[in-house]
Amino acid sequence: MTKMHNKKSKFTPTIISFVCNWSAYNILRKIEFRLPANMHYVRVMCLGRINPSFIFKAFELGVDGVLLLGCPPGECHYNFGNRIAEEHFNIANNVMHLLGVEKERLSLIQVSNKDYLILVRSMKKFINVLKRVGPNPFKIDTSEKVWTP
Amino acid sequence: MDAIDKAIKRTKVYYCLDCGKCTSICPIALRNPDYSPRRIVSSAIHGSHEYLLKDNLLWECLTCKMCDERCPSDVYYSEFIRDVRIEAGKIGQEGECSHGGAIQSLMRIMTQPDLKQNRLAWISEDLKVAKEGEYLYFVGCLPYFDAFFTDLNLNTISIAKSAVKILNYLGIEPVIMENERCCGHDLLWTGDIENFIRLARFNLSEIKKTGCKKLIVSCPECYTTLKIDYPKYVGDLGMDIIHISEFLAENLTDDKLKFKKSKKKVTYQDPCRLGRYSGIYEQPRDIIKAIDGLKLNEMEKNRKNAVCCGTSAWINCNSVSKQIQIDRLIEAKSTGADFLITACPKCQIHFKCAMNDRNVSKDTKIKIMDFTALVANSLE
Ligand code: SF4
Ligand code: SF4
Repeated sequence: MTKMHNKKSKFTPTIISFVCNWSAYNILRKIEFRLPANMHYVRVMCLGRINPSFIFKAFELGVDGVLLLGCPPGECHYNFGNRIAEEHFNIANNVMHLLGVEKERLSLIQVSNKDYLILVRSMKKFINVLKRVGPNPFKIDTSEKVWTP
Repeated sequence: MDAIDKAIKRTKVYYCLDCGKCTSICPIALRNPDYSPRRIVSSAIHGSHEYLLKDNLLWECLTCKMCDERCPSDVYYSEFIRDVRIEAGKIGQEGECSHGGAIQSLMRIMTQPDLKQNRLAWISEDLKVAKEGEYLYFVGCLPYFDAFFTDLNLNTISIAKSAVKILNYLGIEPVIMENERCCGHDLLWTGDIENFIRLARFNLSEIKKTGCKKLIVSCPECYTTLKIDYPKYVGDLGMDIIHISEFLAENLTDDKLKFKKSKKKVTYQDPCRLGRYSGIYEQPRDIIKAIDGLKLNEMEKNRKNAVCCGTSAWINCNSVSKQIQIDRLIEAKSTGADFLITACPKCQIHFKCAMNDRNVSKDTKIKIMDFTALVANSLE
């Protein structure tokens, strides 16, 4: 792991963000989807659609961080979606702790439609934190085959 | 000869008499008329292998080994399915992963050798473990189940605590590995042989490093995987692998175990991996019967006829699984037992999940307790 940390100066973390259609997605639209380098977004109709498998799969495939962008308490379009998103975020967090994956790699940010500045600042902060944490060391190298029948 | 031909030969599928006994006993075929092990066997022999590999029904099998028990020709159907799934996996086929594939992802992440897990927080001060010694206790995925299935009120980690408590009671302080990984059972049985090998190699070398002589396991799946599959795929562990019920049964004869009096009535679910795969039917029963006052009411289908808990290896959990679970729970309840005892954490997860379903009748509700936890709680 340490050898990877040495490279961090040039390192731009790869991030997947899951974006709620009713809040954060509107902000992304306003900024014309000019996202930081290596940040990709997946639009979902509600962040409650996300479950831990999305997050684990992203890490399995080697992303450096996962950002969940949903609505603040009481503002969910469907009333209960952000509660479910929080539950799933907590489960993923606890499991990641057991695995020894740094908790900084996963973040849930709740923003309203108009919280443009909050969103942009949080994104920047997330990227800076990931730069410090370093690349995801948990990516599986599947190129090398280990089994011969 | 292609890989399927080899599998046909190895698992003796060639000997199929087309009698249909497998299909008539199969819990899946009973509830899903599209599925028939007999048909899959005959299409493997007579049909195109390409078609076989793309057949979605391949992933329906529970690999519960019920059919193998009945087959008059000694066909190893469940192993055949395992081999075919490995080939199907190579062309990108897979089962429908339950929980969105979260558990498969966890297992794959665990193949990474640099991982520094925090998996030992459950070892409280009253539990005595050692850095080295004769006995190693293999915990398995228990810490993960509790963190992941928050809605089921599981406490599967109590199984690990109970195992250590029992060993301590017998004067043993087991070694527990900080860096243990999932045994890989589910990846092996769902065709991801590559990642299974990665996990197995890692565990093999970690286990050998401990220098222990005997390995105690409480999970039936870890048990068969470490005992039967590791030697076959990655090498021998070089130590005795003992299920905790075997170990307890040995100690029973020496009169080392003293139990509290109990008034409970229980029934026992034989996990497929412990029963049909390993032939451990009597040891858990002997222990249960040894607990003073505890009454064991057998279900009608017990021992080698015990029905699987309805899902395996976290794939293809569907309405058929639910129906199997409901039927089994009703059977358990009809014995008049207060508790359904099972030795497998996954049976517990599957049954509790079925009972959690609002659409499932209250008649299925029965308390579930793990075998190891039952023993630990009953010790004097
Ligand atoms: S029980 Fe055995 S012999 Fe009979 S159809 Fe099934 S595999 Fe063939
Ligand atoms: S292993 Fe079990 S589920 Fe699979 S075909 Fe045989 S009886 Fe059916």
